[in-house]
Amino acid sequence: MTAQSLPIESFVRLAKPELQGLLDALVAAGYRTIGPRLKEGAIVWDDLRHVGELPTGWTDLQQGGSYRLVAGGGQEHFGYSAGPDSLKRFLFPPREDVLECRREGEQWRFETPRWSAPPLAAIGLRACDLRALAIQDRVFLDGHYVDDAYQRRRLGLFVLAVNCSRAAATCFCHSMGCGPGVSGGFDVALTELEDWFILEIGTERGGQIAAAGNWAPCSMAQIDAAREVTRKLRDELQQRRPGPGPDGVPQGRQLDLVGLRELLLNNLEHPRWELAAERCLACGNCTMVCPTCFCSTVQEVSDLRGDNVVRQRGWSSCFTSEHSYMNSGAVRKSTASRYRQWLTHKLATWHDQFGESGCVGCGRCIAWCPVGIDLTEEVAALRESAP
Amino acid sequence: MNADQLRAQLGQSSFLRDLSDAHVDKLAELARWREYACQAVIFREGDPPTSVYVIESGRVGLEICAPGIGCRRILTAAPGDLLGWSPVLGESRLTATARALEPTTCFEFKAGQVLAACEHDAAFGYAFMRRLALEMAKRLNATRMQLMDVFGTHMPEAEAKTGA
Amino acid sequence: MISPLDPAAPQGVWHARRARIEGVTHEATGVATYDLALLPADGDRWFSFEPGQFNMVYLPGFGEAAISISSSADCHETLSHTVRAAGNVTRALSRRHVGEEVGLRGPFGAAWPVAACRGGDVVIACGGIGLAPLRPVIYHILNRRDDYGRVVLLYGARTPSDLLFTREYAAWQQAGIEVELTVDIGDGDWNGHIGVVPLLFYRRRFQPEVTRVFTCGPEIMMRFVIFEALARKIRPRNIHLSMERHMNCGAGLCGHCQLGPFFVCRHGPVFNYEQMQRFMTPEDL
Repeated sequence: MTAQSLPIESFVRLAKPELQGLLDALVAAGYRTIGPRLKEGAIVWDDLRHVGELPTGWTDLQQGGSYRLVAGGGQEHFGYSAGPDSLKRFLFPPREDVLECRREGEQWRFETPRWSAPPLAAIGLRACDLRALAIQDRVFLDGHYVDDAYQRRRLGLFVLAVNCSRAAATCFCHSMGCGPGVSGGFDVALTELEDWFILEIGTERGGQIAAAGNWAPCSMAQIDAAREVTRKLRDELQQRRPGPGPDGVPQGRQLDLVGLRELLLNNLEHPRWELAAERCLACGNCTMVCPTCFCSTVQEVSDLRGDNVVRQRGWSSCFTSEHSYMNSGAVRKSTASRYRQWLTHKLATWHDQFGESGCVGCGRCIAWCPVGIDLTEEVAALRESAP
Repeated sequence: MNADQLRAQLGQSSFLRDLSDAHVDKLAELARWREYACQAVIFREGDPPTSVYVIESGRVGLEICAPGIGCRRILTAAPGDLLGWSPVLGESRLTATARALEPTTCFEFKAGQVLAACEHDAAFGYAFMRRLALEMAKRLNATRMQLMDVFGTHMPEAEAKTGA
Repeated sequence: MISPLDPAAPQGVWHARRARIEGVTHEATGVATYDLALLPADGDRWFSFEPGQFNMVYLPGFGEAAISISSSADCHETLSHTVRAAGNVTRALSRRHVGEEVGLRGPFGAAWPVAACRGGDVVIACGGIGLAPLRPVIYHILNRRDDYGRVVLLYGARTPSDLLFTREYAAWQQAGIEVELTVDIGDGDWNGHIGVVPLLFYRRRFQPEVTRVFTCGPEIMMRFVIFEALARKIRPRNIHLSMERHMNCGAGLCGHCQLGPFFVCRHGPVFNYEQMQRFMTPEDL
C-alpha cells in the first residue's frame, strides 16, 4: 500500500482494466475480495480476484416470479441489478455456531466460539445494498444486545459501491428513498461510464486503497457525467408506471409510503390477506432473499454421545409453522396470518422497532417468489379498497 | 329484622346498585330476610321453583347431582349474587341445588309477587329484568371460561388445519 | 451507528453461565420449582433481577426454555424457576436432580412496575402457573409493606391440586395481603370458591384512581380480568399483563416472539394494557 491517500469526497478517474489494481491492493491489505459472479444462471456474491471474473456484458430481466440473465451485448461490468443473494449471507451467516458446550464428567463447560476470518471487501454493492446494511446495523448493533460476530465483520468490511446505471423492472429503491444513487456508507463508490470508472472517495481507508490503483484526475465534466447516470436513472424509475405495460408485464414498481404504517395496521382483518394466502406457498423464499430479514433460530447440534454440543444459529422464516409455536399451538397457523406478519413487519412495525422502514426496494422478493406475489401490488390493493 | 332495617340492608346489596331508590323500595316490600346454617339447603335441584334469592352474606355452593358422580359443586356464589332465576322466567324446575357453605343470609323474593310487580309497573319490570339479564350474562361468561378449560392442556384442535 | 469494539466486553448474548440445581420442589401436577445458583467459577454468584423477568435455562443437547424467576428479587444468590414440564426442554429439566448443572442466560424482559405503584392499591389477579412470575411482586411488597395501600391477591387454578405455593398463603395474609382463591373444578375436600378469577374481581369494590392491576395467566382469563377492571374505571395504563410468545433468544434478536411491533422478550413480557390493547386481536397476529 502506498503512503499516498486520496482525500475524502474527492473524485478520480480509473481506466476500466485498472480496477484490477484496486482488487490487488485490497488483497495485499489482507481482505477477502467478493463481488458479483455468474453462477448457475444467476449473479451471486462470491470470491472475486480478477476483473475478468465479473459478469461483464450481462444484464438481467426480472418480473414477478421470474429472473433471466441475458447477454446484453455491451461491455458494462456492472450492467445488472440485484441477484438472489445479498451481503446478508456474509455478515449474518445462514449457519453460525454461537456456543460450544463440552461435558467434562458431571460438569459442562461453555465457550463462545472465537471467530476469525480475513476481513471482507465487497465489490459492487448497490444503493439498496447499502441501505440494507444500515438497516441490519440497527438490528444487530443498536439494540441492548450487540451481535459480536456481526460487529467484527461489519467493522472490517470494505465497501466498494457501484451506482446503478439501469434498474430491473422489479426495482423500486426510488420509492424507498434510498436509491438509485449511493449516498454515504461507502469507502469507495464508482460510476461506470463508457470508457472510465469515476471513483468517489468516501473514507480514509477508501482513499488509501484507491490511491494504490492507477488513477488519473478527472474533470468536472466527467463528474457531471457520472452524476447524470444517476439522475437519468432516477427520472426513468419515477416515470415507470406500475401495472401491466404494452407487453403485458409491468415496466416498473412504485410504493407509496404516505400513511403506509397506519394503512397496514388499520387493516389487519382485510380480505386481501386471504387473497394473497391463496397464492402464497409459505415457501419462505422472500425471507431468504430479502437483505434485511433477520429472524433466526438457535438449535442444538450434538455428537453421538452428547458430550459435545454446539448451539448453532440458523436463518429462520416467519412463514414456517414452527416460528410462532408455543405449547398451546402455533399462534400463526394460517398462511394469511404469516404473510400479514411478514408484510406488516417489513413495512409497518419495523418503524416502531427501528425508526425506519425495513424495505429497501430491491425487488428480490418479487422476482424470487415462485408465484410472483408483488408487495407493491398488495399495498396498492389495500390502499384502494381500505375503508 | 324490621322493615326499615331490611330496606337499609337491601340498599347495600351490590345486586341492586343500578336500581333507582323507588325500585329498591318496591323490592324491599317483597323481600323476606332468611338465615341459613352451614350446610343448610336453600333449594334443591328438581324442586318446583317458587323464590329467587339475593345473597347478603356468607357463601353458597351450587351443585348438580348425577348417578356415579354424586353431587358436584359447579360454582360458588357470594354476597351480591343472584340465586335461582328459573322462577321469574317461568321455568318449571330448578336446575341446581343451592347449599350454604358457611352461615349465610339471603333476601328471598317470591317469584309470583315479583312477576306481578313487573306486570304492574313496566318501568320496574324493565329495570329488574335488565338486572337479571346482566347477572346471567356474567354467569354465562364465567361458564364459558370454565368450558374453555383455559388451564387444561388437552383440548382437540379448534380449527381445521391450513397453511404449511 | 457502529459502536467501537470493547476488548473487555462481556462474552456476548449467547454465552451461558453455569448454575447448580440446589433444590427441586414439586408444586402441582407437572409443575416444579428449580432453585438455581450460579457457579462461583463463572464469576460472581450475585444475581440481580426485577420482578417479572425471566431466564433462559439451558440443557445442553435439548435446548433452552424461558422460565420466569419466581423467587424474591431481594434474594440474590438462589433463584427459583417455576415451570410446567410441557416441551422437550422442560421435560428434560424435570428429570434433573439436585447437584446437577444447567446453563443460564438472563435476566431478560420488562418487569412489573412495582415502584410506580407505591402509595396505591394493588390487585394481583392471576391463574395457574401465572402466579409464578407474580410471586416476586408479592415478596417485593411484603418486604416494603408500608409503601403500599390495599393489596389483594385473586388466584385461581383448574383444580385445588393445581394451586401453587399453597404453604405460603397464610404468611401472605398475616403480612396484610388479602388472599382469595378459586378453582374451576372443585373436589370433595374443597370448600372454597368455585368459579373463575374474573368473578372474584367482579364481586369487589376498588378505588379506580389509586388501583393498579397485575394480571398473568391464560390469555382468555386475562382478557376477562381486564374487562372487569375497565368496567371498574381503572385506567388502561394502570392495568399490566404478561404476554407469552415463542422465545428463542430472549434478547430481541431472533424475531420469534414478535407481537405487532413488540418483541415480547424485550418490550414485555409485562405490558400495560394501553400499549397492548390494539394488538390483542386478531388472535393470530
